[in-house]
Amino acid sequence: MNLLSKLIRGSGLLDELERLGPMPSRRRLLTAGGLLGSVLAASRAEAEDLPFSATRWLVGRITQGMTESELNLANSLGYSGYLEYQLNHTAINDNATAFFVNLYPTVNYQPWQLAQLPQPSQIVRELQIATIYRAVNSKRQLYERMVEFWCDHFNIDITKSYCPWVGTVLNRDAIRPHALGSFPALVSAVAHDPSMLMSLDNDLSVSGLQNENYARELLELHTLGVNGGYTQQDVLEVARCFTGWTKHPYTVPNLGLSFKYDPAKHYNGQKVVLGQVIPAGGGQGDAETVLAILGAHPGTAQFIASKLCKWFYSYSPPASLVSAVAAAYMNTGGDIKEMLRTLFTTCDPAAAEPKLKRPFHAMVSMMRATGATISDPQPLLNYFSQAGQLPHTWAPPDGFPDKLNHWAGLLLPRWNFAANLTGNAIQFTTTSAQTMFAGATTAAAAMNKLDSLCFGGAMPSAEKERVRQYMLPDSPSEARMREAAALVLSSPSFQWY
Amino acid sequence: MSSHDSRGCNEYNHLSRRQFLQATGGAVALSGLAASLPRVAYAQDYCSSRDIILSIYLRGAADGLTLCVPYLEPAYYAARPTLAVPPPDSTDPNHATDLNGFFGLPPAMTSLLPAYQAGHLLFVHACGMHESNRSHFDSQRFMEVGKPNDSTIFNGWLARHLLTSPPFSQNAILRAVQIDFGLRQTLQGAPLTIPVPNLANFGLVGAPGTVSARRDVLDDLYAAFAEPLRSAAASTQTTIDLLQQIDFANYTPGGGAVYPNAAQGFGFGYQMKTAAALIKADVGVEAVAIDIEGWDTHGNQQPFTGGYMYNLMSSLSQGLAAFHADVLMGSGRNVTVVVMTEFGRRLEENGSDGTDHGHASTMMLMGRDIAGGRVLTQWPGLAPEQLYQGIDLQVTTDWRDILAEIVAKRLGNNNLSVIFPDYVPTFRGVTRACSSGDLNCDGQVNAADVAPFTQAMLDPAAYQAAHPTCNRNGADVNADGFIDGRDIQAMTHKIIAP
Repeated sequence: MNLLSKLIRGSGLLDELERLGPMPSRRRLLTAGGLLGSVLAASRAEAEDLPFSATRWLVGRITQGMTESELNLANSLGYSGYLEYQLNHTAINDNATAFFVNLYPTVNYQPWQLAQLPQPSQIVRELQIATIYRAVNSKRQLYERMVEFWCDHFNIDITKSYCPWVGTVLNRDAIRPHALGSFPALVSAVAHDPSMLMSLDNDLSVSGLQNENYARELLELHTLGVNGGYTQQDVLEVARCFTGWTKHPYTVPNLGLSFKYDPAKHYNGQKVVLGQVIPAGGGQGDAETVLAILGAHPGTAQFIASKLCKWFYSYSPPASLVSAVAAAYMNTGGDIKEMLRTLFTTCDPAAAEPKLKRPFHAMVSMMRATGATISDPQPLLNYFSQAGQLPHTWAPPDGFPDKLNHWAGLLLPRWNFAANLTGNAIQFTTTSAQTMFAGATTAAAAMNKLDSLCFGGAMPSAEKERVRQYMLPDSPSEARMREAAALVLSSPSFQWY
Repeated sequence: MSSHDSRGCNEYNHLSRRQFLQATGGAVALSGLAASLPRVAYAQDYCSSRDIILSIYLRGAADGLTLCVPYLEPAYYAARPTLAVPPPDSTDPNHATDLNGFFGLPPAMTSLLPAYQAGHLLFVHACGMHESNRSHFDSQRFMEVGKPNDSTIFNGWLARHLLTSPPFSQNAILRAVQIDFGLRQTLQGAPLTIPVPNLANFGLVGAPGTVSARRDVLDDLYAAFAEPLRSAAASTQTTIDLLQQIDFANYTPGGGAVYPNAAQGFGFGYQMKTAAALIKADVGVEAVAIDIEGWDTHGNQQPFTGGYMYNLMSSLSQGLAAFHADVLMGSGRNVTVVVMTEFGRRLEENGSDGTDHGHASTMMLMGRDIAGGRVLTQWPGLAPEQLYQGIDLQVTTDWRDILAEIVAKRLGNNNLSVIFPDYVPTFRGVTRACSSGDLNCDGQVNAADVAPFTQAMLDPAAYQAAHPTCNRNGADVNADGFIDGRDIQAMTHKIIAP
């Protein structure tokens, strides 16, 4: 029995490491956390009883959670057909989702209208509601996964300055229009967004005493990455280029809290960014030049490609895959769709290690699998909060972590959400016995339906059998079946995608 | 108080090798360091017990020049026309409070004076990571894994401490907890460790009649699954039972301590209060980690009354002060508190009433056996030629020197080469030399210690004046956290039958 299969059967990792080969012992200790990830692929592959299906894998990767109908659609279109269907998101009719989201008025307010509201709590709440509702119900699932990705990539502190008022505008007018468009256009739209400027203090930056916050994170988090080769002097020079990029005061009619370039605050001298001279007197164009330099930079292509591969394929993607996606960026001027097309047509689905759903993904996928009906999402916010991932509430600029070891320890909120969801304990979000059990009267029939809903029929047989036993003796009550549904959603295999 | 159970060498000796491997996940054996395992002694006095560690991380790079103000530096005032804290002799109501004739506490942090004056609070200034590159995320990561610029290390320094030391209790359930929604790097990879967002509210929902049966199913499903979920699920289930034994709702802090805003049920004060309740319950938890976000003060730093950083500092210091009064001045297991941040901030303020990313900052240590009441530093100065890259406070003390001394001296673990790889730490004297009963610090406990012992008990100031280099805590011979009449019998016993 090899190391991997022992691990899958429940032996302790560290006990197994003890018996590992000649690797220096200290090195083994240092890397213990890292080895965990590498065993997962084997775990998943061995546990599955259905043969591996690349199409089923793809549905898991590019949606917020599998549903029966989505899997049927994907199977009918095939791997490439389904990928193209989701990439061509504007062709997917999503009117029902849009209709529901538009019931929340601030989602469509202009900045100056938002600025007039005395309290921002309604604005933030409606943005969170829209995010959750779209994730669960939108037919443009890959698009919503990309919106989530960019919300983390361009994360703002929604409590800071006037961000509670206009953070929703960043989402609507910068991220959503470009989520599957051009990366240089996206990074430019974000740079012109007042919430980003406020969240990273650029609105306060003045010539001579520039504020470095946005400039550093533009380089480190948004484009080149921390190892992208820039220096402290580059940070300083980029900050100088961005002096004067601010927002109109909230009191200005029709313009309050929208973007403003203030020449009086701009540093007019010559700047040198990444070796490129930006002559004196360029005004607002200085920073536009910086954005153009960064958007065309191979370091940006590499960094964005690496993050996309981590998001969709693996915590530690192969360098060859990242290179291919980066090449797609350079060949197309940063076309996000083309990068994703390259990613999913170059990668080896069967070799992908499973990724742990973050709390948001896990809870949304539970609602999708069970066909939950949300008539008012507001009570859901508290559950997302308790699980540590209420949308738009991560304060530092790096976004919610996408790290296995960050989230793996906190299982209880997932289990409790599953129990509340299937037990109809959440106000205004309901699950239907007819949908979940399709009239099943035996434990086995109920399990088959739950397996189909939650795993597309690929639930590991040992887990399936253990939950079936929970419903015995046969002819389980609806309450018992609902508890079984919670156990399926709480099962270890459901936590991965 | 059951603080003297299951920590001693007797228990350790009785552990079979197999039990030990199970208890530590086999880590010690695989590290090949079994021969140099820490020797854990029975806590007959305060010197011989292993501390619990409370690790507090200030996320965002806290400004060490405000947390501990170098008020004799003219360059500090020149560089910070709006943000500098005025010197102690200033008539400005926002003036600093003197600590040692050179450094002072900002007005938001005066609640820490009792801990400082008791000799339990130490500032380590100009401390940090030499290799820090002004990136929050790189700096946090490498500080937390315990080695600069090594992206092949996945677990935290505190995790590796736990991996290489036996648990307090043979049947440990929860060795460490992060009071948060996720595990930060410091504790990633630690055995029997999970994040718990709210210690007082951790249980399974659903029909009470089926909880037990549903739990059995979850146990079975996860027991058959791979790490890390297998251990996480097991720890979750056992931790539910553990925490439900503790009455957090009715916990009354000792020493008149008041945790700031604890009643709201969240935030730092609440986290500290529940951490204190957990620690005092003495259920085998060895490490608690708490994060405070929001120290990235590029704009509107506002260190004065009611301002942004004032409120952050006030919450931090009131929480620490309450913990000092509640836990450190009480009886029970000793705790060492470490407060750290990824780097400090630029000397010169920017035009936004804030400060950009800098280099060195200040670390704070608190504990009965921290050599406190001091600001420990090799102060590099703030003149232009003394600054890092001409702009930032230099790092003159490597953060690992401080943590390694804590690990070795207070956590009883000498496996420093595993915990801080490829680094040979220099101990800076942040912990007190242990001298239980040796009140004249001549290296012996004998009749000559009786007079200073009495003086230490009755007139602390006179004692410290007469024995400036000695540790008054040595008079706490019965290790109950107090220096009082209850120590007399233990002292007598120590002299008669050492």
